[in-house]
Amino acid sequence: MKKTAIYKEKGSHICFAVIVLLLAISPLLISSTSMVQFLGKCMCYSIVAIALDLIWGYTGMLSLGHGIYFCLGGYAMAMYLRLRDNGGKITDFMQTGGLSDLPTFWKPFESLPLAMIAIILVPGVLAGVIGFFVFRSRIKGVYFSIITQALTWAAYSLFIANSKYTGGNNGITDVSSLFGNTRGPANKSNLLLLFWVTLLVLIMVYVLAMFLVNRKFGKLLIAIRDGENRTFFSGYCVNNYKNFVYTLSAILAAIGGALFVNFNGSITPSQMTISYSITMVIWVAVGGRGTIIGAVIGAFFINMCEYNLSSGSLAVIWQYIIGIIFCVTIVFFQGGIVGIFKTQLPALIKRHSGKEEVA
Amino acid sequence: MKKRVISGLIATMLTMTMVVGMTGCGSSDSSSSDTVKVGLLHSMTGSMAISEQAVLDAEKLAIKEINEDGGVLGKQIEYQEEDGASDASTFATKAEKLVDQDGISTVFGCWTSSSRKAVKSIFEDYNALLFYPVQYEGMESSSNIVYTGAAPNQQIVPAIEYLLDQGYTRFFLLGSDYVFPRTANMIIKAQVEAAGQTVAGEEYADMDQTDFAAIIAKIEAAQPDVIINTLNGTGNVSFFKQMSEKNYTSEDYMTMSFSIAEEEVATIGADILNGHMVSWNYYQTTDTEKNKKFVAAYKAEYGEDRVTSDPAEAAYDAVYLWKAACEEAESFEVKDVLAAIDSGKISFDAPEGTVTIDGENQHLSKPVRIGQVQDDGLIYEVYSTDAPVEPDPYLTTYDWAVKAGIKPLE
Repeated sequence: MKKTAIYKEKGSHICFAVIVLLLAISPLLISSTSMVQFLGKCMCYSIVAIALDLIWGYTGMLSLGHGIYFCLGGYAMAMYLRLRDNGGKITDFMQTGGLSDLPTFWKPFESLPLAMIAIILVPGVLAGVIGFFVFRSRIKGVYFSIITQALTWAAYSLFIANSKYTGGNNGITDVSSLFGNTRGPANKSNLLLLFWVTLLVLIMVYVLAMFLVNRKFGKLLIAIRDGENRTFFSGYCVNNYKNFVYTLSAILAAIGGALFVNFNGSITPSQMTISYSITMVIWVAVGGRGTIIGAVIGAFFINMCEYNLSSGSLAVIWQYIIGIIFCVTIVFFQGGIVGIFKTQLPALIKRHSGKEEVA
Repeated sequence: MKKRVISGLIATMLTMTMVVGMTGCGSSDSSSSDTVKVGLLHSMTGSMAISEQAVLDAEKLAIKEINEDGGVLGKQIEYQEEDGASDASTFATKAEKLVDQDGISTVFGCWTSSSRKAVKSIFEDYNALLFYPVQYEGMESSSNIVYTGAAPNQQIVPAIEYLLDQGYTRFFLLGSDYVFPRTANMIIKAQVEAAGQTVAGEEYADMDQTDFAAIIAKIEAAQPDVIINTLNGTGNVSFFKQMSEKNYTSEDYMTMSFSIAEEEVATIGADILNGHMVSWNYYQTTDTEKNKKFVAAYKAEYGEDRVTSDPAEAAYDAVYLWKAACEEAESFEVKDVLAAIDSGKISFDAPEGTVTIDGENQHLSKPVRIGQVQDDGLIYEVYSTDAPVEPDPYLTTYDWAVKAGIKPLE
């Protein structure tokens, strides 16, 4: 039993090492900066997927509203970059909205350290407060999912309605990156720097997640998933554990969002919609929930499918293809891509070779 | 043993995924010797797909016609379609894919302001060229975008002027809650108040709101004599249906809409919209020789039941204007084409009349037409400007706008 656990981990470590290696050298091999930008976005999605996997795959809480935290991180970063590039002037949508001074709550975003703190603090505090009330009221299962959806919807409406503060449904556009402009061959060095920093963050998030789930803490999360009452009656304060992992997940999603803006050059409220939040769940489900590596693989796999399928003649039907992949995964391969290689394929080989031995 | 097999398998699979993801990286050759490639970037899936399909069809029709006519500078036009999936970030990703990875320098695309704003800096950074075919809220001009739809002074401002001339005094502003209605209403308020008339109310509905009972009650209380409608999409259907359920017609409350074209009339119902006013630069009924040909070609290509509309016509013009600019420049290079455009000499004898690209702000000078919906589902012109109206995206030539502080952004 113990041996299997170690072996499983080894598999994912090797797998992650291969991914990291490929990613690390990819910007040197790929000539087009747009492809590198895209891979960078995929890394950000992977970070969000890991965040979601921690609370869904491990703790059994399906959040259908992680877009809100992704966007909070994204808006914080975008506003810092926008203000930096504007050189002290307020943004165009604030001028259109009739403002002449920077609103007080955006003031901290003029400085990089404060913006960085806000990227972590704002989603962290929000998730902590939401978690405190939600988990104290013993809201779980589908009701938890519904509440997360409702909160995302509320935040979405709030961002749309206050266009002079948030840019409405245009969001914050024309954003460069922490390291300056990253587009085109002339700015390749900036892009490389940004890419590798993001890769480093992805590695750190992966290590952190692995560290947590392989400790007693991780066992407790799984225990909460598989039998919350039993865990509770064993003397563990389930609520605190759930709240901690929910808050951590929110912060990781925000970090993913903040990095995403650097590559994407804009952030809009559509990243905060329920449908986008559900897309994030699909990444985790297809990759393999309950495995950190599965989240990473899923995020890359689904986004690459989207990127390559949604042009030319397939453009009209690509969403059906993604839908079919998702449905097939749910019905036949509940462990996702990782599950296929970890359990279903070995079982098949075993059965096959067993037969041969008999013959 | 098995351990190694499995991790090997996983690794192989991942590598394959990567390879699949990166295919096409090497192919950045934009055009072979006898073709030139352009990009078509529109939403083919998602909530905007219905609207953008008409624009996409018009662009393909123009490309087909030009190809049959011998192409541009002797080269056949090839196009590559990308799906923006009604999401601004996807538009950004796809725009970058087109202009960088696929090496395409000219793209026709976008509909919503949010998608245009998301791709604007990409076209500027890669020095590529975007033709944007939809009327919008103005307050923008990028040297890498040609705006072939109307600026506010070619749609909104003349419509309000017309209403003021007709003696309307109480205006009620109703719109969907996003940037176009909010900016449009900011302009309208300044204009109406400068003329000494009243804005009786201003209401915004959520993008997918279907219940307008509260808003209709507010309209009844405010007693306006005209409703300025900037609702978009499904909101229009619900609003007009609920107005007609209360037996209100254009006699009770006249409306002036900026987002209702022929396609929308078909969805809402001509009987409901009968007599209401709209403002555009082009209608299917516009009486020019070119338009007869355009409507006939459009219907022949896509079916008798299809209608042409202002955005579709502007998209059709965009392709021809690009052709004219390339021919003037005798080159497909963006810097040469932009130089030709900036000369201010690029014009096209369009279905709406002659349109010319303003070299300064890269918008079109185009005629403005106020129309009225009739019970056959078509829109008929009731007023038009004598000559094409020069584009003024920042409204700098209007005293009341300058006074109200509507000015170019720093």
